[in-house]
Amino acid sequence: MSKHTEIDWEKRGVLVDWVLQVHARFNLLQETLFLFTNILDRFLSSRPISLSKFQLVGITAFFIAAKYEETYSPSVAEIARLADDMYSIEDILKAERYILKTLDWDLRYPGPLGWLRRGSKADDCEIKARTVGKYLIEIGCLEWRLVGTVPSMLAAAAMWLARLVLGREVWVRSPLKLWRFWLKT
Amino acid sequence: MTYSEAELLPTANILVNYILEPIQHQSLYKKYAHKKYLKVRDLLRPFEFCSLTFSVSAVQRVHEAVGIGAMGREYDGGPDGRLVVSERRYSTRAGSETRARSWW
Repeated sequence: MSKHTEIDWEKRGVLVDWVLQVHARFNLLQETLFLFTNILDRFLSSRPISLSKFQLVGITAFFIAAKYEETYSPSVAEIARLADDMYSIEDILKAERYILKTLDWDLRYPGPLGWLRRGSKADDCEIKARTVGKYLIEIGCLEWRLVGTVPSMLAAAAMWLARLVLGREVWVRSPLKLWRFWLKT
Repeated sequence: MTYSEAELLPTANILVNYILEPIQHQSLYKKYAHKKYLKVRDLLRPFEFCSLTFSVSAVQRVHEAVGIGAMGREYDGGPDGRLVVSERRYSTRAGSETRARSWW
């Protein structure tokens, strides 16, 4: 972030928060949101970008993430409409190619959600702890201090904290069997 | 290998601080107020929504766990006045396990 002159953490927070709202309106999978954050952060850490193009990067990263994760992803026209037609469809497609080229077409990302599911399974899929956990890992998308945190660590901390909040910090069944993989990978 | 609690504390610390700070991101805040998400937000931010009694208890639990006073937010020696999750947990509440279940 230090090489960026025009954008800062606060602007990133505003952008991600806006995409989160869009994401909720489209009823998309949560994975999309995490992949979007990952694409955005990886792109921003390799290319400085001007403020006028910042929202374009945001919606395009969102578009890519949706295409990767969703069965039915929003069309390019819908995405363009989201940004009040500030950018044309050609702009978005061009930005898409540019972002993908910058990332070397690598969209693999073991997001925190998979880890959270694993942790939740050890917890007998208890829904309240899992929902609190989801809220906490979503904070991880927005909070700049958590950008560098490994997804498995974030999910583990979220699950741990969720159980703490709900007063169930003592594990009934040993989670060790399932959580054993948490550092190996 | 798994993560130990001590390894999780720095991350958990940031999460707790985020929740205790003023609202920064409206969409996230609104999203988790929804019934679909079990109104998890209110569970973690009690002092603005006094309708939920159990949520106060829940935050007190976190406060106890991270070693700060219930309302007082005594800062526990972090560099820039942030809360620090310490390992002084478990000691304050031995008999609270049964109470915890009935909140939900």
